[in-house]
Amino acid sequence: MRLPRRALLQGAAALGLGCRPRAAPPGRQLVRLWYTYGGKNRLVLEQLVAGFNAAQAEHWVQPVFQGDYYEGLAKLRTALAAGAAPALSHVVGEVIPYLAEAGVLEPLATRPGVDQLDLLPALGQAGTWRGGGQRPLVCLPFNRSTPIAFYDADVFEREGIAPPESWQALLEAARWLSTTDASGARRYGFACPIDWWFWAALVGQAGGELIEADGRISLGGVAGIKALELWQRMVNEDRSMKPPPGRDYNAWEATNQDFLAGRSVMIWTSTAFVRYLEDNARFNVRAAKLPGFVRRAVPTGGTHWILLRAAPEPEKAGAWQFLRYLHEPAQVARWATSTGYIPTTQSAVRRLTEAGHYAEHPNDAVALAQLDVAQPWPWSPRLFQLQREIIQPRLEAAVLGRQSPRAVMQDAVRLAQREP
Amino acid sequence: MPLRWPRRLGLVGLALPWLLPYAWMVSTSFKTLPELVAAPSAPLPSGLNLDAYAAVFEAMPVGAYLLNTTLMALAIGLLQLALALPAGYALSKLSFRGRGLAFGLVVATLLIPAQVRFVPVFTLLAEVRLTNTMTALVLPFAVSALGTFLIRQALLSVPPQLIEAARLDGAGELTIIYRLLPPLLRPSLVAAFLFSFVYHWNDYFWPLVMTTDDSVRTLPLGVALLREQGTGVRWHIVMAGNVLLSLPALLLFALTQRQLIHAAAGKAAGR
Repeated sequence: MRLPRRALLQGAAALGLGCRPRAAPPGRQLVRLWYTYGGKNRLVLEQLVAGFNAAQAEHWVQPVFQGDYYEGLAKLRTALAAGAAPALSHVVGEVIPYLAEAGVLEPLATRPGVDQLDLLPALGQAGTWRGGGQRPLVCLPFNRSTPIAFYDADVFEREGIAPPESWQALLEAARWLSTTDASGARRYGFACPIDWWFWAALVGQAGGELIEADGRISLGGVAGIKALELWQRMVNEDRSMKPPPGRDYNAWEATNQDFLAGRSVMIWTSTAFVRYLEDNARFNVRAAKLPGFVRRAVPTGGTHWILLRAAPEPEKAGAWQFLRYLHEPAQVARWATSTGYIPTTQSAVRRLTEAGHYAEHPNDAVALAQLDVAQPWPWSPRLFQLQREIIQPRLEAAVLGRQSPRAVMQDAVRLAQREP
Repeated sequence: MPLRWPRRLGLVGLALPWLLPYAWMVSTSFKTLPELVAAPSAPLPSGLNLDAYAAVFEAMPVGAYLLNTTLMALAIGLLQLALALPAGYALSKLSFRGRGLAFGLVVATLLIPAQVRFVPVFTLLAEVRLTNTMTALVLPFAVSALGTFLIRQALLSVPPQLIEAARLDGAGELTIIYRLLPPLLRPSLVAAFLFSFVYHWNDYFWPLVMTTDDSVRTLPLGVALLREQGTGVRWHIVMAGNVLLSLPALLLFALTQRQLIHAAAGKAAGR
């Protein structure tokens, strides 16, 4: 075989290709935006970016996909360490306190026009975290959602059942709706991903807090145990709840598929799935608020915009202009109606109401109304660790492995109370 | 000798765990979303619906991603061969103190996954402003422990007299490494190249970490763009992307399978 000289030359050429990152058009400030979702959300975001780039001639936002939420976050942390972070990104709420305490987030309070942002209280920093309003503003809400119940309204009507308002009603409805046909196929009354977010909802409904007012990590105390007991009873004793296979978002998708295929009659999932479920179900999909135990409560979820302090000021200024553009009512409304996420500003809600959106889409109105019982998260740099390392890995083992909820939660609290 | 039918059946049965997921992927790519929702596990689509493929081409610059992926995988594969040949030669045909230890170290690096070293490598490349370049995708993989191992093992079956004779004829070491040995090692070289090519063709993690805009993005990242997070997955579109991603690698395998089987059978000298 001859020395593959031509191939080596081609390889060398390949090494040189693409060495120059795409630049902004002449005279415009490049603003790097790292985002973390594909599919429809990505298309809508890119349309909004294109709208901004066309609407002004000073800045040029360049959106770049960085994997899913957690891959994007890992990359952002690496880029921060390497001094290569972009000016603008969005991250899950659970990690904001950690990033803020690490000093990598740009304070936003002095940016021009910040006072004009009429955020929905439950979705902004002030409502998302306990004491969030007293801290320097470091994030703005983007794709925000809460857990919500969706049910097959046709089956509910046929069976004469109303959406459950309490845990007891949930237990009874799920049992009533669970059937096994002649072929042995099981239809479950209820399905829900065994996931931190829904566990946090149950903890809130049972009156618990993950971190007490004095800073002690309790993971809900008795409420955390009651949440696991409810799931265990529904899955193992009543066989009225289907635990979906898979982890993280795979389990969420399996929950949706089961619901759409009629294998479960009622599910808990994210408000963001409303359009997907409505468009693809062959039955009437209705939304309902989650039931209560000692109170009604839902956590909020999704991501928040952040500016990275280390980015050059001109780029951060451009990023801020883009955020202001995104928070104009037209853009907020477009994002919400195209994706299913909750609109984040009061002016956008007014705009949608006046346009008859909520009359036409009553399920969206349920999601909005449920914000009245949204519970703030504790502001803790360890929140993300509690989610990913302490709680999430134990939930499935506890529910499916029939471990003692008390023992599981005691173990979790013991680990959580250790210094990180 | 032709295989008897029970043996053939057995082989087909063994192949099914690999073939069925692929067949399901192809089948799903031709379905519509309502079909998928109604019966996600139905084996066949109702028709050859190409909407999902159209959606893939609409969602990403398939041609540009394909070109980037091809250039990256080719460059890595060729560089690995170019460097694994002298390394394998030294570890198998030259006598020097510490040769065994050097070989052990090469093999030990097989145990270190890319995820472990991505932070320091990213930091290093960021220092010299090489992130988001083809260099960042290629350079960290230019040296392959697996390639070195395969070529070293293949070289063990090359008679030392052959190399000695070449030296007596006046051939230098580089001539021996790059002119005399490659024809003898063809199956192993093809195998090493293919292992590398397919691995890097499919690699999602490293290009995701090292690239920060679309100019050097690869096809697996493009396929990940098709995945929804939060609004419901359109699996048929994701599967269409996966079919497109896998086709070139399958084609390459089909063209070179004879060499691969030779290498796997240990016919390193191509006889």
